[in-house]
Amino acid sequence: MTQTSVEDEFSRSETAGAQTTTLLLQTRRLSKDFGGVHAVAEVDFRLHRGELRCLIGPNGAGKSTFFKMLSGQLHPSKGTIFFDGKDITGEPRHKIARLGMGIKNQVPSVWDGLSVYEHFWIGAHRRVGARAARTVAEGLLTELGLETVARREVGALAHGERQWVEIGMVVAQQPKLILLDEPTAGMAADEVERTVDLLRAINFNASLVVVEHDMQFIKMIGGIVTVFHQGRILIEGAMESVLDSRVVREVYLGSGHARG
Amino acid sequence: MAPARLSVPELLLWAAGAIGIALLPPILSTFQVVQITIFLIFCLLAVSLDLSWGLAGLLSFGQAAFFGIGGYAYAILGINNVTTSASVVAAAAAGGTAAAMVGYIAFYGRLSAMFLAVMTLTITLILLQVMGSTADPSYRIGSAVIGGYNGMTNIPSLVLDPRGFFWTVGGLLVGIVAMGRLIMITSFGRVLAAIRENEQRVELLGYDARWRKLVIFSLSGAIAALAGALFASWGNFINPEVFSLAQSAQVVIWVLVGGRGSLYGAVIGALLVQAMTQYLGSIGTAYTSLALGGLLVMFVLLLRNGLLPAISRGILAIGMRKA
Amino acid sequence: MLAADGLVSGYGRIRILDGVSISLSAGEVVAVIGHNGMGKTTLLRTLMGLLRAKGGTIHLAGRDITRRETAMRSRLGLGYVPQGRQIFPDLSVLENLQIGEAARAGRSDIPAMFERFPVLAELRERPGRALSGGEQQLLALARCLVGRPSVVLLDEPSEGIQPSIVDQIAKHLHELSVRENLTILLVEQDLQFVASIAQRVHVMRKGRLVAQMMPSDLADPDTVKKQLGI
Repeated sequence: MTQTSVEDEFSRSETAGAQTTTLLLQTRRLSKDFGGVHAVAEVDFRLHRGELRCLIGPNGAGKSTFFKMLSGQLHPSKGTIFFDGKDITGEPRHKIARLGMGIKNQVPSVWDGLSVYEHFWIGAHRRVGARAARTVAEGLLTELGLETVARREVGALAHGERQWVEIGMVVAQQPKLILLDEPTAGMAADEVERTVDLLRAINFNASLVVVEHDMQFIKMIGGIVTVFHQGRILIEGAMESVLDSRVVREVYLGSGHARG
Repeated sequence: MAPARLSVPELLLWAAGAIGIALLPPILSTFQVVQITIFLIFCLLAVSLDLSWGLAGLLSFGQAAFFGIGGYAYAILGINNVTTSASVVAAAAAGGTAAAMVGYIAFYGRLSAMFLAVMTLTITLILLQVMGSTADPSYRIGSAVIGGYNGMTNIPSLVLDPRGFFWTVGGLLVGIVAMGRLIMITSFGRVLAAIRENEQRVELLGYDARWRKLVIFSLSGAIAALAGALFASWGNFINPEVFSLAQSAQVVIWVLVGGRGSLYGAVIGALLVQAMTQYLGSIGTAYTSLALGGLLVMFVLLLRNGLLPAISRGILAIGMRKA
Repeated sequence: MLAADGLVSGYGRIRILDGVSISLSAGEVVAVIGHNGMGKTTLLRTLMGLLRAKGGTIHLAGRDITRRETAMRSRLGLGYVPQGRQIFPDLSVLENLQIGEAARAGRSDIPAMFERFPVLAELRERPGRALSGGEQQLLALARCLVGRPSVVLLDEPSEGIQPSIVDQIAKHLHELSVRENLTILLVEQDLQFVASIAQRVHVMRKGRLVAQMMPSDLADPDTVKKQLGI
């Protein structure tokens, strides 16, 4: 419904890549229908290079469906997606990944029978050679504090640890854009802090869009927040103003969470 | 899961296997040599399934189809006076091509795993029907009469001497297991293992799963066809029985019993089940199916992952230890 | 009401729970917090019988259920909402709930549940797989509660659920514990949620319960960090 005037500037340009080079991701009237249900309805979304955007909204608002369309896991019913200047609407998921998009799904999507190390190695190997992949993998093990379980089968890890593995695997991919669907689910407060630090570090090399319900996390991240509601963008703006907005409190936050 | 690196013990195992193959024929009777040769041929067939199923998670009930295609291809070429070694290679290629065609439809059409299993079984049974209906002598390719259910006889041998043939088959088995293991530890193999676990996740990293599955499935078909050619050469005979439901199921049972994913399990499973069938058959045919069925039930209940994982877990277990 | 003594359990050779003892009286709400991989989910799974206890005992309302299978424990009044939703994907929301209360007699709690959580009512005909993650989580919780268990084991019930509904869940659980004497053992990472309903908070580290905190302690992040064991 509301957008800042800066965004309006960009909405006037016809092609998303050629002229406006800071725009990494743009969707135009993106929609997804399941039977009679409009899971996502006419979403115009814009993300600039280097952003760390938070995406929040009530359950069933279409956030995960939106992510799935961006990453090619679902075909849009209508609308277009531009990524890094290219129209990727309807492209197969592995092609989109090759173009530089990584996604961590809501439900940990990992390889139970393979070790943590292998996850990172395979993630990295897509872009770099075997030896370089080894370096990347070992670095990630240290950065994520998973050295002790490096050779453990991921199927044997706890829920939250599997989240870490998937995050690490996607980071290993060295994408331009990372979509993270509830990355801190199952994490304790200090682990959430570590994740924030990690994401800030990743943000130096990649743009991020993060779906989250954890308000502590959102507040730590700050920046621009996009709110989804019933398949559309309800409001978008700076974190403080969005979290203070009455309509957001009504449909999403409830009464207790807007305070610091 | 099979280790992702080659260890010294494993290399020693290959050496031991090769040496064993070399040393066995002189100490066994000709009958035993011939008997073990057929066991080894079926071990090769089991290995072909394990490469497709154990590594990449592609369950095919059609290894018998590729086996039979290989056998018939070798027979037809051999009877038409093509050099036997060339016939073997062509037979393997025929199997590989057939698998590639099936695989292309299944993988590029993004059809479900269930579809692959059912389709491969259906193809096997169709071949059974088709090859079985070629009784009339007009069904011939060159000078090779297909012969319907009577099958084809006078198929030339790849190697006339039983010992030489044993060494050929044994050498091929050891070589192909080694090759399979080498494939498993390359990045291609590791990505296939990941595809088995979660294909979507693999593609979301940028890997195209379709051609990778096609390659391994075609290779698996080629190896099965190779086994089929060796089979036709072994008995100098082939008939549509190779396309039977029983044959299709057998291959899956061997791999189930031995344990999927290591290739060695497939070999052990095939040897064990065949040896048991042989033994039971020799003491009274009435109980063979019953005993085999009972064995399978026992495995499914007690050793769900097969024999080899159970053995290795038993060896490594020294009691509970902290995580 | 629920008492575990010296519980030892794990997966295969790996021991996760290393002698856990915890007890809850009727109507108590107790939370267990801790880092990932410390054994919180393993504790709940062992209490529910999805994992066999390799040592120790479990008593439910005075009855020894250590060797009982899961279905029996459920019939005896032990409810469980696991992580990962596990709702029936091909059944509608309504059908999922109906199965939840199929095993007991008495009036249906489903209308009341729909009133409490209108989002579920709106989705009543929708098949489980068509729900969003958070909606599935809410359904899993509702399905457990309509069975009117006497004790519930909740594994991160607020995960993936929007804040306003998390508040409603907290209120509902609090009411149930006060009015119906529902005993609740809660594994959670959302400390605000825990503070609003728990009477006692245990910290789990490396398969043991190592500390106890008051809910009011949770408001201080430094205390929490220290207890979680950095």
